[in-house]
Amino acid sequence: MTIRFDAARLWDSLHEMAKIGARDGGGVNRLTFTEADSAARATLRAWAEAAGCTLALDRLGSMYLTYAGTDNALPPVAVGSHLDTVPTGGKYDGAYGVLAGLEIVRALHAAGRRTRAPICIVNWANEEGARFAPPMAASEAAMGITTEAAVLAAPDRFGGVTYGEALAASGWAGSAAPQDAQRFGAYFETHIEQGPVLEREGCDVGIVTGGYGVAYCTITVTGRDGHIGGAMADRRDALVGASEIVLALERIALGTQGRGLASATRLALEPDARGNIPSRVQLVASLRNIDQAALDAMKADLAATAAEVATRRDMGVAIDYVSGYPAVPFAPKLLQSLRDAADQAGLKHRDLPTPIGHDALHLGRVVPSAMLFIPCHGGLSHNPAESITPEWSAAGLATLGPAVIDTAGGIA
Amino acid sequence: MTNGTNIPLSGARLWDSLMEIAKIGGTAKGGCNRQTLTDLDAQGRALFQRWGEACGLKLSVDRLGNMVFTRPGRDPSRKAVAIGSHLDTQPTGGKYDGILGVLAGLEVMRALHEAGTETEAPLVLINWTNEEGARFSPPMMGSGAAMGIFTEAEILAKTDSEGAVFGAELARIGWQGEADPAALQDLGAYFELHIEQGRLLEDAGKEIGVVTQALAQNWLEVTIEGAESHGGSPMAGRRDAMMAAAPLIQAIESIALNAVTPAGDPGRATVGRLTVYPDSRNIAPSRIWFSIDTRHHDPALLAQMADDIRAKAAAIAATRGVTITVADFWYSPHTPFDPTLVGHVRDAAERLGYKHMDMPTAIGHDAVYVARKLPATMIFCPCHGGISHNESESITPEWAEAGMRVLADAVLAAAGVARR
Repeated sequence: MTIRFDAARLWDSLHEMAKIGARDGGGVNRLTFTEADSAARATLRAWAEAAGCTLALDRLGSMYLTYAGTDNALPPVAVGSHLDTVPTGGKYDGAYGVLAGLEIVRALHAAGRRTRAPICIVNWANEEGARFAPPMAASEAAMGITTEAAVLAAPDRFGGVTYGEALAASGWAGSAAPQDAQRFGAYFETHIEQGPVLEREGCDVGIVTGGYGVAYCTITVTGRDGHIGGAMADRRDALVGASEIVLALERIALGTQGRGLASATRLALEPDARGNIPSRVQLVASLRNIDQAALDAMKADLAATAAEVATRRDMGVAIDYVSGYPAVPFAPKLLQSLRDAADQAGLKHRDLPTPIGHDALHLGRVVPSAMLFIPCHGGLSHNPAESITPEWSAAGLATLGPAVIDTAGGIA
Repeated sequence: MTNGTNIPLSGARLWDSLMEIAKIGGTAKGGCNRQTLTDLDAQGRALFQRWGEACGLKLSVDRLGNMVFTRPGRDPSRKAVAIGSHLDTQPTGGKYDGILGVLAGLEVMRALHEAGTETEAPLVLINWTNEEGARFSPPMMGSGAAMGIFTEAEILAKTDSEGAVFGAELARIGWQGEADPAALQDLGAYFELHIEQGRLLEDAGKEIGVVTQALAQNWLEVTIEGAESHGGSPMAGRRDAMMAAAPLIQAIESIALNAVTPAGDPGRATVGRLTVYPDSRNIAPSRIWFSIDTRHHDPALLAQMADDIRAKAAAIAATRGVTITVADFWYSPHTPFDPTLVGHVRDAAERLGYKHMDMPTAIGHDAVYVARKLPATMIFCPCHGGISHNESESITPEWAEAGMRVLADAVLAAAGVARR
C-alpha cells in the first residue's frame, strides 16, 4: 500500500515550530539549551508522542523518538537533524530534517501501519556550535569520534557555564548512552542546501553523495626583503612567490573534474610596507575533495608545485597542515533508494556533495548514511531571510518518505 | 688642489658615531628599528643635537621636526650650502640608510671646527623628518613639505596604522619646533651622501657613484572587489578577489621585466603592502587592496608600465567577474640633478683618486624633492649585495670614508674656503 505523506501538515508544523524563538524579520534564535530550545524540544516530543513514538534522551541531550516496527530486533532506521539554530538563524536549517522525519511517522501512524524495522526520529543536540563549540559534537561523540567528557566540558561562548551544566539546567539530560546510535541500521538527514546549485539548476531535490574531506594549511613563503628600488633580477619577492602558489591552488582544484575545491583565504605580508619587497608571506589555504585519495593527490600536487617554486625562485615554501576532516562517502544503497523515490515522484534531481558540515558526516563514518537536499532561495542560510517554497518542502518529503520506508523493510 | 682633505676628517670617528647611534633602536640581527616620531627617534635626535652643538653648530627645529644646524660663513650675503639626509629607519632597517649622510655631514662640520676653517657661504646640516614613510605614508614628508610639495597641514594630520596622528606624535616626543620649513627653499645648494641600495657600484668595483638624476617613480593603489564565497562553494561561481590578485601580482613582475630600454634596462615594480577582507579561514575574500611601486629610467616606459598594469587588471576583471580599480597614488617625475654640483662631486672623486661612475638613483630621497626647488645632488657609496631596508644592510669603513671625503670636498668647492 502507499502511505500518504501530508506536505501541508509538514509545512504547518515548520511554521508552528518557527514561532518558538522567533525574532523580528522572520528569523529564529533557538540557541542550544536555552528556554527556546527546551520549548522546541517539548513541542517535538508532544507531536511525536501523539504519533505513537517513545522518547529516549542520551547523556548529551540528543532526543530519540522511536516509532516501533513489527520486528524491533532489527536495527532502527534513523531520520534526523537538529532544532537548535544560530542566533540569527532561519526557520528551516535543521528543523526541516527533523520535522520531515516526524511527518513520515505521522503518516504511518495515521494509516495505522508500521514498517518492519523501527523508525527513530533524532534531534541532535547543539548541531550549530553557536553556543558551545565545536559544532556537531553530540553526534561526533555518539559515533565515538570525540569523547562525552570533552563535549560536556565545552564552555558557553556567551557566559560562564559548561555544556554539561547548561544541559542539566535545561532538564533535557538523559541516561541513554549516545554510543547506542552506532547501532542504527541506517541514517537519513534531509536539509536545505545552503548553497545555490539546486535552485540555479531547477532541481527539486539533491542526492548528497558525501562530504568533502578538508585539509586546512598554512603556507609560509620566505624570500628576502630589500628596497623596492633594487633591480628585479636580484629579488626574492615572497609575495610574487606566494601568488604562484595561489594560482597553483586554483589549477589543482580545476584539475579534479569538479570533485575538488581549493581556496586561499588569508594572506599576511612581512614587512608589509610600501617601500619594501615582501620577505615573508603567510597564506592560509584549504583543499577539499569528495574522495580521500583524490584529496591526498591534491596535497601531493601542491607539495610538488611548492618545491618547484621554491627552487626556481630561491625561496623557502613550507606547507603546514593544521586541521581537517576525512572525506565521507554516503552509502550507495541508501543514495539509490533516494534516487528511485525521486524518480518515482517525477522529481528533477541531481547528485551533489555537501560542502558544509552536518551530523550525517559523523554518522556516515560508522553507520550507513545518506543526505537529501532541498533548494533554498539564493543559497541563503544562517540568516533570518532564509527561505524555501512549499513545493521544495513537499519534494523533499516525497523523496525521503518512500526511501525511509523502503530501507526500514517496507510496510509490514 | 683639494678643498677638503686638508681639514682633519676622520673615517674612524665617523664609523664610531655610526656604531654609537645604531645602538638606539638596535635589533638582535644587527639592524635598526628607529621609526619616525617614536621615543627611539627622539633619543637619536637628542644624541645628534649633542654632537652638533659640541662642534659649535646652532640648531633650529622647524614645525615639522626637521633638524637644521647652521654654521656661519664669512659672507652672510651668500646662500647656505646644505648637507642632509635622515636618521629615521624602516622597522627592520639597517645602520647606514640615511644615517651615513647625516653623520658624514657631521664629520665635515667636526673637522672644520677642529681646524678653525671658515667657509665663504654658511653651511647647513639637516636631519629630515620621516624620510622612510614606513610609519606615516608617504615617505620624505619633511623635505617634501619644506619644498612645498605637501602642505604642513596635510603632513601634520597623517595617521599611522594604529591611528596615531603625525602632529600629536611630533609634539609628544618634543621635537616640534617653530621655524618655518619653507625657509629651507632659500638654501643655495644641497648635497646628500647615501648608500646605493643597489649593486651597481659593488659589481663594477667603484667606490663612488656620481648621481646625475632621479628616475621617475609612479605609485599606484589597486582595489579588487569580488564576492565572498564559502571555502566549500563550487569553483565555477566564485568571484574570488584572491584569485584575481594573484595573476595581477604575477603580471606586475612580468610587466617590469618586459619594459626594457634599447640599452637593456628593465623597469622595477613591487607590491609592498596588501590587505585582505574579510581575512577569515573559510571565506574566499571579497576584497583585496594593495600598493604598487613602479620605476623606470625612461619616463615613457614608466607610463607604459602603468598602462600595461591597467590593461591587465581590466582583462582579469572581465575574466573573473570582479571589479579592479587602479588608482594613481603618488608620482615623482624624472628629476635631473644640478650639473654644477654634479661636477663638484665628479671632480672631488677624481682629485681624491676614487674609482667612480655616473649613475641615476632609482630610489626616492630627500634630495629628489629638494632638487625641484634648488640646486641639489647626491653621492652614492656601495653597500654589500645591494641589500638595504634590511637588518643585514652593510658597508665597509673604507666605503663610508670615501663617501665622506668626496662629500667634504664637493661641499667646500660649492661653499668656498675663506682665506685666513
